[in-house]
Amino acid sequence: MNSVILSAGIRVLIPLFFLFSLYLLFRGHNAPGGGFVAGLVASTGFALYAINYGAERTRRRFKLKPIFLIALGLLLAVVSGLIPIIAGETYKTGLWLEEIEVPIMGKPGTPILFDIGVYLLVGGTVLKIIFSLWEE
Amino acid sequence: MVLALYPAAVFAWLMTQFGSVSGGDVVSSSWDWVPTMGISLSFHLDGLSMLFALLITGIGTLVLAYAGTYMKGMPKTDRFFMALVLFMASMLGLVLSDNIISLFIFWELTSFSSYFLIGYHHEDKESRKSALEALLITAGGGLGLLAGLILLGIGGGSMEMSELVERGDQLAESGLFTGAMLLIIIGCFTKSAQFPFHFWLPSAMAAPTPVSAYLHSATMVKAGVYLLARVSPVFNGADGWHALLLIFGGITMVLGAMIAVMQTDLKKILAYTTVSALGLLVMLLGIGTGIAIKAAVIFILAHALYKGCLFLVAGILDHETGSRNIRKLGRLFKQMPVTGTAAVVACLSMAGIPPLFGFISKEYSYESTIGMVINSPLTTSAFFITGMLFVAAAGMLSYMVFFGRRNKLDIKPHEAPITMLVGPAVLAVLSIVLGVFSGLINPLLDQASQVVFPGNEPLNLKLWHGINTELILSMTTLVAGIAAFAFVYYNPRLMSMIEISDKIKPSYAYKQTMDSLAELAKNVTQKVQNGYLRVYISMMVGTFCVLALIVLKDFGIPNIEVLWSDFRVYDIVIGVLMIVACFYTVVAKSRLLAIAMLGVVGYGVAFVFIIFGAPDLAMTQILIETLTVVLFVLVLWKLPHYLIFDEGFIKFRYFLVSALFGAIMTWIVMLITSHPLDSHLKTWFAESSYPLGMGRNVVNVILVDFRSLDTLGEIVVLGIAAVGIYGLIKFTTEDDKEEAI
Repeated sequence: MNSVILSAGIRVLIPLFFLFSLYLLFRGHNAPGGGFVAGLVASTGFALYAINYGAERTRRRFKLKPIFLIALGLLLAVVSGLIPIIAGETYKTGLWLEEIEVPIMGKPGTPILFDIGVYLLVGGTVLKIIFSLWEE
Repeated sequence: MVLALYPAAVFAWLMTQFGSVSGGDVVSSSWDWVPTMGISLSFHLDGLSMLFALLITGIGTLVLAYAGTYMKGMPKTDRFFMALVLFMASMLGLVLSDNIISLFIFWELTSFSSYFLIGYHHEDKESRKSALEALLITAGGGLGLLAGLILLGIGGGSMEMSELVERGDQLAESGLFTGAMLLIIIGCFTKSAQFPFHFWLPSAMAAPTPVSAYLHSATMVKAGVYLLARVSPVFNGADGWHALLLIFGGITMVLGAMIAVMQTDLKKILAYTTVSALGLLVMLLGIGTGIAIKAAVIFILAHALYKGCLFLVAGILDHETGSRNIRKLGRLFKQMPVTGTAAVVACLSMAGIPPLFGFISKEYSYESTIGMVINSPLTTSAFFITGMLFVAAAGMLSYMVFFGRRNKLDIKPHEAPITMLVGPAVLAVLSIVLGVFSGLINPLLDQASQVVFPGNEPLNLKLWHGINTELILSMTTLVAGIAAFAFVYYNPRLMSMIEISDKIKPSYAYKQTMDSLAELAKNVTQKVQNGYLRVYISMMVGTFCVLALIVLKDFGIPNIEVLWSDFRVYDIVIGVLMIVACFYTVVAKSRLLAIAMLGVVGYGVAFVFIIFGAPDLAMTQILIETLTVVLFVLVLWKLPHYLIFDEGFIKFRYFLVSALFGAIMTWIVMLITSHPLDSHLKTWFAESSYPLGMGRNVVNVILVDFRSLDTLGEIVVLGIAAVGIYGLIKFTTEDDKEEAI
């Protein structure tokens, strides 16, 4: 599929999609957003790029390894629950650095880490599906 | 090699506890796991656990050291050793667990890890088949065991084995006694290869020999015996317990020994004698008298020592000569003196010749069969036959291999490297030492027998009991056994003529069952999974409708008052838009149009979410719709452009299903809205979101904090789905692709 509009537009849009997804990810705890939606936004950006330029090129251009993203996301999600155990709490107790206040995000804590895991996994899953479909 | 240090360390630690445990103390520790269901990781080291734990770690150390050399040059050894150590850990967990649920989990873990070990040569079809056979039988029995353990737990009112063993009466009152007993027995019988489930064990000889030496002599197959012994204080005394264990144990014992002497493969002989030995153990537990329990405990140790040694010897022979056929091997003693000596010692112990440990074991077994109140003559003669055949098998394993006729090998055999000799040598020496100085092991075995049979008389192991009935029987067995061996030895042709019809073997029944299952699955799959996506979806929706109707039939249709004035203009606009889009989705002739229309419906839903104040949902919905369109476009690329649905009735059928589904969903929504929701949770989440979850977005806080375990489950499913889709798309063959289009 070769559309001049899409191919010109997507080059500009990709960083925007990506930044917007990060924005959604980190504001998610206090305002509409979150890992799931952010993952979808990020992958939509790459998906549009893939539609225009093909999966292989997308993969090379952005050094994407969907399976790696999925695995990393899952790992982060699990680890975020394990950290409290080291601190002597039960699995998945939310731990917060209460004195720090980050703009957009609020206070950093293990649930944010968990959300990042969700973000990576959702993004990776969508990309995996799209790349697979494309290469068939 | 280095890996062997790990079980060795555990062994050393266990030895430090030896004194206190054999003095009657119990070492225990516990961590809560799921405390609300009484599930914890509690461990309990008493005499019986100690005996098994020592065997597991001790033989484990020897086997790992041995396997380091044995497996050299073979592919994927890292995987092999991982599975072996995993097995070792689960086996250790199994014998140390006090909580019945964690015990079950370790039990299943041993089944799984042994699956990998038996199927090590996975490129070989036989090997895969054997692994699957062992897994299906032991894990299938495991399901029975799980049910049995839960019944035991409910009936006895505890999840801790150490408490349950004292609560036999309470269990009997609850009426769950028989059920729990039968199910546990089934689980143990499958694991410990009792007739008619015994056949998986000989098949499992497809595993590399160190695995057989470890799993199939001393550990895995003894797990069933261990558990039977463990629950023995609860069930001992019940009629069914005695009868079942006695009958099935007896049959297994005699049958195993008989088949063993007909074999020519070293490992098969060992496998069948192991089956037989397990039968003996079950039978002794079934006799259930104090002396029988003592005999069982002694035999567990004796058997582990000599059988472990013999398996390792079989491995050496296989490794150095390339053959395991006893008719091909012969006169190897000169070339392999160390291996030969170890094998001969182990065989003497197996045959029950003084002063080896096997002799003591045999004396006790005779004493317990003779001491039975009823059925003594029958049981004693069954044991006599088995003992005789054991002597013959011992002769086949030692005399025919290391002495006897000249071998028919193509290569010149030589002694194995020292690392492989350590294992069998240590085990053989132990058979002698423990026979002569039985006092060394007496306190531990005594404790073990006390655990299985509370209040058992103290054990006093002796080599020489004076001339009594047991000794005379033992000697007669020996003579008869030697005669039996001579018969086997001098009539090779006659022995090879014996053939058991496949059709009477339980393995035949297993094969038939598996084949017909596969056939049935194939037929069902062809009907249900015919490759048309629309059929799948209408089936899923149809099933849901039927199930929902079953539940809903008891509810009336709630009367909800709807006033036109409640609707706002944009509600109506969106509603009409969605209905129109639905209509065009159905009648569209082009796929692209249909998808675009479906997208309109989806965006409409997103608008509804926005109107009713759920921005998170709306945002997700919009993105999902967008992605769906993107995905569809990718797929459409490969599909014909136009839908061809000329036959009107097919369309009608799908219309019917959709309409029914829509109606039911509406009904459900109406039902839900007519019941005022308990807003207690809603308020709680809204109020606690910031103080507890540090976030003002309640939905997100619920997802990543309050209910994050659910989310974790969901994303795991998502990840698996991605891998599944990848597989589905990538691994279709060229033929399939053509069909699909």
